[in-house]
Amino acid sequence: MSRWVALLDEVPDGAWASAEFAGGHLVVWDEQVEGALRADPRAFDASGAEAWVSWVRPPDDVSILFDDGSVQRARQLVLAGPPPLACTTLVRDGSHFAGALSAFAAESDLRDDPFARIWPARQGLAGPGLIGRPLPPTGPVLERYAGAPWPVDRFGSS
Amino acid sequence: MKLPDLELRDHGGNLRRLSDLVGGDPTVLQTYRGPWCPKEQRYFRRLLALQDEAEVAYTRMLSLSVDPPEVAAAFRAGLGARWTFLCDPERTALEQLGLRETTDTTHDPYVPVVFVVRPDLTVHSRYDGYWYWGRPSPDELVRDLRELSRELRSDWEAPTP
Repeated sequence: MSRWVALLDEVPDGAWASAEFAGGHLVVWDEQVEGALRADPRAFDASGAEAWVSWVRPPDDVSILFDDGSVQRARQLVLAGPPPLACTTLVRDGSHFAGALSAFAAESDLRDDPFARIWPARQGLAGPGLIGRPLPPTGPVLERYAGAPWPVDRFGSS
Repeated sequence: MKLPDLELRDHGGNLRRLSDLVGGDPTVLQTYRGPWCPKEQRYFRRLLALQDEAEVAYTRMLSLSVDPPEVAAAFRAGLGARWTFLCDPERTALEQLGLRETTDTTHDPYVPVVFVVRPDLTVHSRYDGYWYWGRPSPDELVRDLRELSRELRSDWEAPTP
C-alpha cells in the first residue's frame, strides 16, 4: 500500500482524502498521480482528527540527495526527540529528498520540526480526515527500505 | 529459544508489541537494571556507538527495564539514544522471561542480558551480563549481526552480472 500527497488550491476528483491546510488543501491519493509525492501511508487516516502540520518542500530548482547530511540529521532528531503525531518524508524518485510532512498535537511543537531546519516550512492546522496516529519507528534505522519514504520500516511494504 | 511476543509500553507511553518492533530486521534487545547502575551507564556508551552503525544497517535496537515511561524517557533523552525503550514497571515481562535479579531486593530489576533476535523472535545469541565482562563487545555484536543478516537477506551475495 502506498499514498501520494500534494498541497493544492482545490481538491480534485478522485482523491482518497483531503484536509484544509495553510490556505489550501492537503490532498492524498491511493494511487500515483502526476505532481504528487510518495509518502509513508501510515501518516494518513481518512478518519483522523485535526492536527498541526509542518509541510517542508525544497525551493524551486533546488534538489538534494535523500542521504544528504542535513536530511540524515533531521531523521536522527525525529528519532531522538519526543515523536510527532505522524511523520513522513516525501520522495519523487529513488535518490532525492522531496520534503517532509510532520504533524503535531500542539501549535507550539511546530517550531521543533527538524525538517524545517533544512528549508522553510508552511505550517498550520490541518482539518480532520487526513492525519493518522502511527506508532513511532523502533529506531535507530535511518535507511530507506528499497527506496520507500522513511520511516517505512519493511522491505516490500510500500 | 524463542522470546514471547511481549506487549509493553514504550518510553512515550505507547503500547507496543515486540514482533511489530522487531519487524523484519535483526534486533538487539537489551535488558538493563536502571539508570542508577554505573555498569549500565558504561554499557550504554557501547550501545550508543553501535546505533551509529545500526542506523544504516537495517538493524533495530530495544532496551527494556522496570522503569516507568517517564523515567525511561528521561534516561533515553540524556543518553542521546534513538531507539525504543520498553517499560515493565509491573514486572510482568520480567516474570515471563525469568530475568529477575534476585540479589537486588531494593530495585527488583532485570538482570542484564543482551539478546540478538531474529524477526520470528527466536534468539540467535544471548549474553548474560550479571558480571560486566559477560556483556558482548561491539565486535561480538557485529559478528552476530553479520551472521544473522547473512541468514535473513536472500541477496547477501550481491547480485553481479
